[in-house]
Amino acid sequence: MPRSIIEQLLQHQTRNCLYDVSQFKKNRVRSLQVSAEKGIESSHKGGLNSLELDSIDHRYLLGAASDASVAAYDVQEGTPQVVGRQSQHITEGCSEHKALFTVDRSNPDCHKFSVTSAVWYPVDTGMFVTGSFDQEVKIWDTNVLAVACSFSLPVRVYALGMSHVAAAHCLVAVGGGEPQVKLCDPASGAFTHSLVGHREAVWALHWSVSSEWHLMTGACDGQVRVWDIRMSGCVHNFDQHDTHRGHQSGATRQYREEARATDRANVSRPAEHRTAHDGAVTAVVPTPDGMHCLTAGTDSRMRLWDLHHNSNALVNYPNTFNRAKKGRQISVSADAPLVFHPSGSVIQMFNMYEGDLHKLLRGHMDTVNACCYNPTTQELYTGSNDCQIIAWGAPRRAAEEVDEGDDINQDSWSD
Amino acid sequence: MIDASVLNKLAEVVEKVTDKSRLDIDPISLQQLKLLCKASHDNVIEVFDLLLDRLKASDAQTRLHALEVCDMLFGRSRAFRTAAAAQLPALLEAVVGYRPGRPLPGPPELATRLREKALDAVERWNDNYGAFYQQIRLGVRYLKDVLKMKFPELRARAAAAEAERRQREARAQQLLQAKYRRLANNFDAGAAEIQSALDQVQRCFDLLRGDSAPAQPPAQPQSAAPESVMDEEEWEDIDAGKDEVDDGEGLADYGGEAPEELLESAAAYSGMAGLGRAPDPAVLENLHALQRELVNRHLPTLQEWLRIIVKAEVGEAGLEEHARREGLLRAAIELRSRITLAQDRYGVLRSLLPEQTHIILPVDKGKAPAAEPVSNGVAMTELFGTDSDEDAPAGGVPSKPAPTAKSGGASSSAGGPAAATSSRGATIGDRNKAAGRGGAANGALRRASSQHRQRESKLPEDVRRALAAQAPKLPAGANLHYWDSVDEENALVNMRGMELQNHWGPVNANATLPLERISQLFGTVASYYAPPPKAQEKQVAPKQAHPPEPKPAAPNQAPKPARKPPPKTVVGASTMQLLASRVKAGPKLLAGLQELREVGGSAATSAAMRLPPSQAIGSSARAQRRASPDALTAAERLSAAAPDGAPAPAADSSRPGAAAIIGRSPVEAHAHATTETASSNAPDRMDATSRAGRPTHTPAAADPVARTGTPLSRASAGGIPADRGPPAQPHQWPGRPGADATSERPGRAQAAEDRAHNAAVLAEAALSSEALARLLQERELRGGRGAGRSGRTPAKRKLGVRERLSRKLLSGRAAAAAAGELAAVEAASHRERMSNRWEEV
Repeated sequence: MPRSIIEQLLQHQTRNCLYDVSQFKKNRVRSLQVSAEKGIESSHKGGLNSLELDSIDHRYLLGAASDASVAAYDVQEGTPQVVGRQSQHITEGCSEHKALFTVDRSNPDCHKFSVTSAVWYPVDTGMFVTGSFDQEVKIWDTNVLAVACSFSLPVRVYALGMSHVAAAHCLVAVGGGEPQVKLCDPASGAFTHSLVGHREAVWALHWSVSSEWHLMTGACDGQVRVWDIRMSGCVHNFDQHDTHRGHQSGATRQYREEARATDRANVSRPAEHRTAHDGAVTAVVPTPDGMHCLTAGTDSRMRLWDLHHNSNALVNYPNTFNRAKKGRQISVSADAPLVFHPSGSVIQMFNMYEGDLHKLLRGHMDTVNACCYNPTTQELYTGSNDCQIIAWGAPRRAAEEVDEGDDINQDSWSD
Repeated sequence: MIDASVLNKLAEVVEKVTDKSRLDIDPISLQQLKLLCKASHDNVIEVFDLLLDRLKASDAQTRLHALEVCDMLFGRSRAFRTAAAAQLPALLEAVVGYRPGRPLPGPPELATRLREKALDAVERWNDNYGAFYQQIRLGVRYLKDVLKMKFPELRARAAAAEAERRQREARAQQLLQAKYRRLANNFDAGAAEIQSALDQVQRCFDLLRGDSAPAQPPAQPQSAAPESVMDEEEWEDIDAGKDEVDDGEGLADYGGEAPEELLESAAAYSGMAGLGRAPDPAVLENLHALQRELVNRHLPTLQEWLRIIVKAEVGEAGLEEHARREGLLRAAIELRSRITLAQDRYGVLRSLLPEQTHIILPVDKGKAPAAEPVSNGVAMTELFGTDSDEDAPAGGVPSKPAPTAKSGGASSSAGGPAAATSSRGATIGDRNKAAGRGGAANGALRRASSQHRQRESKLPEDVRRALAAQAPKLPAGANLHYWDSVDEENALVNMRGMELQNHWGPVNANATLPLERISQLFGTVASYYAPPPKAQEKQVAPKQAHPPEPKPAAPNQAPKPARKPPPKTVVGASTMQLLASRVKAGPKLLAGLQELREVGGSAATSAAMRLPPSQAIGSSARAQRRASPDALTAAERLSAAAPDGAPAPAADSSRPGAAAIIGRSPVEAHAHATTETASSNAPDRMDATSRAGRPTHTPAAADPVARTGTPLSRASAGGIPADRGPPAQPHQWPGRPGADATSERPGRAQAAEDRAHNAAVLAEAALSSEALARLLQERELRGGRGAGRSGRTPAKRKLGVRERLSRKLLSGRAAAAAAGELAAVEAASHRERMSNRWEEV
């Protein structure tokens, strides 16, 4: 069907524009470094266990720390206060971000032990959920900083999750020291589900971004399972050896037959014995497009899974050292297909589909536990055991000019 | 990309710099490293990597070195900072050892030091560059807040200290202002009190002066110090004083003024008009009490006031309060300067007082009472002149020098303003000698008088008086310093009254000077009082023997050569100029010289003429040098003419050491007589100097006598000058050239003028163009120098040291050239000898 020239032109223009924007974002992400403009002043006295950005505005960062404190930070607007002594040298983009609120020991509803996970209510930031080693899951009213509802578990809580796409439910998935994954319903204040399948503690879980009913969990037994909460039993148990790529691989008939053979072999292996990692799974995170899933385990591997075929995409991410004792967040950026994997005190930036290391982000003094990507500003927030939250951002484009004119930060060779 | 060789070099240098076997960093390697780093940013980054490797060495010493290098580079290179900030965790781990799993390596004490240093360095980095490197901020925050490490926190401490200091200052200022307000209220009363004390002192001085010279104008002298005068002078004289200081730099300028003038002016200054007379003890006592009160009570108070006024910050500039403060300040300073002036005068007075008078004063308990009060009086008389006629000049003079020296005593504290007032005539050197409290001259005077006393007591009083009446006047100058020193030839320079401290540039305090040089400097050499002409002729006769007779001199021989000099001779011209410059004869002669100068005659004349009289002697010393050949020839002429020459005593009288002078040598003396004397001087001096070379020479035995007392030498010189002026007026004050002098010898002035003219013409012909050019330059250089003894030298050109030096050299050279040419015409052999002598000097 012939289209008008104007239409074509418009389409072309739009495409170009989109391309430019995505390119811009990509460049920004790829050039992350310690942000010179944003400093997040952590109010935690213990190491950070999790960080989550609200999904509405991408503005409020919720941090949970091992000193039983929870704090929220506004990452867009800094606290109105100059930084340091040389405020005159800092351009106006630079800001210090202090905690908007902190829930710590002074709060009567506070957790007793380390808070391992804190997530926003996906619909708005008026509510958040925290889970702690004190075997409690608490649902907080942000505005009054009081517990609206709490769930007691028999075991320590390692991971929490709420579905960002859920319209029919607002269940909180809780992974804890027990193999069962519990689903709490804040509306009723009761556990609605208990997902049985794992054989060890569940350290990581994440709701699917494509379906509100699907939940992915990773456990210490090395299994990563996909659950459909409408059905009993698990939908899939990922097998690290299952590399079948299905029909889309465009392979020859022979290859297809071989694949089928391996498939049969897989099928022949009992699902209970399949493992995604050879160690505990510390992180499970789907890509924003919902097509893939990334998992990390204490076998120092990170794996990319094809969710369409539920197979291992066989991407090798080198040197993903991991000896975590609890869940650890990894983060994915869709702008440039990058994965941020905390390894020790550095954050590794991998190309998601190629697996090559793009960059190391150094700055933390101790083990990094949490990282959270902000797609709006192409920033990364990381929290570590050194109690600091670091914002990583693209270098100021005007930074060069600004710094050139600055006589303090210049070479000064006396001889 | 970095070249491999550079890379190797870097690795090598870093290795050397962090050599753990050394306790300190190898400075040469460090320098090398710096150079390499300075070369390019890549190098810097590479060096950082290398250093990071070294920082991970399992040895605290290596890490310490590496940390020091890091610290050094961190402050210098931005690339290094960037690299270090990016790797800060690793860096901190290596130098602070914050990670429990990886502590710092041993030895433990070094590890502790390493950590301390690291914390200090990191804190400094954060203070200086934290704004640019978030990592550093984060790292410091981590170490401080999480790990609770102890940082030195220098900045915070410094800030606290600064705040404290400011607070303290504010408090002090508050107190000071309170004091100031109190002072401002009470100032008038206090000032009035001080003023009344000052007035009393002034009255005492007036009384002292009035003792002997009631006729003299009582009031207007300086000492009354009407405020208008002081105010006016305080400002105007500052520059003049500086000029004086500058001019005083050359050694030759020290002989600027005849020292006896100093004494006179000092006496006048201190109110001691009647020098021979004992001042009224009551007045002295009163004066002393007042003085003590001034010094002990008022001066400290005044100083305190000044301190308060200066330090208190009252009001802004332009406000009324500020103006008030300035007014107070001015008044206080004025009071202080008056007190110091009074002190000064008092000091001079005391130094001039015979010591018996001192007995009265309780302060002088320590000093031994004089053994011979009477002879003291005589000593005084001889030193300062006996005749009552001197009162007139003494009364006339003080109005000039006194204000000039008013602040001499205060010069220790305020050199500039104190020196300011001296433009009237006393040069710096003079003031230092005469006016300073306990200055060199005072000491010298006392010494001289006491020595004099010891030696002199053999003659009866009346004889001495008679002798003193006839005695020529010895200047009180440097010769008094070595009045009886045993090895006068080897006396140190600074024992001769030169102030080495005032010299700019390197000074050898142990330097000695030959006698002739000393004499030139102090102007004591070319002395010629007027001996009787007969004696003069007698004296010259024996000399006939040794100087070979120069040809050109022969035709000039005449029975009375000086009286009727052959009109068109060159001979004697420069001698005459020399004399004229010294004698400051009547206006006619001056006019003649002026003309001579205008004609562009000999350099000596122009130099002598343009200099102010206060410096005339210094220059005349030079002029004499130049004139010597002529003088020599003149002397030869005389010696040839005079049938009855005077023998050695005359030569003694003109010895350089004890020679009588000059600058004010009697004007009444006939021009021809002075000419003769002067001309006879030169050979005599030659004799003397040659004798100095041979210490065994017999006449040296007579020296002490000649030096000890002028009367004696005078006596040995044999005779009272016949055509000297009336004995009652042995001195003519330079300020008042005798009217009789001019009236007495118009013809001679005329003759001198003629001779000067001749000399000018001839000299002009003889002068080479080069010398002429030099003369021109010299004249230009001295252009600003008008001179009046009484007038302040108006707006002297300030000359730099170098300029002045070159000026002197040039003038000396030009004069030497002129004189040399003249002498070549006349007496080659003598010129040879003399010029040799000069070079030595």
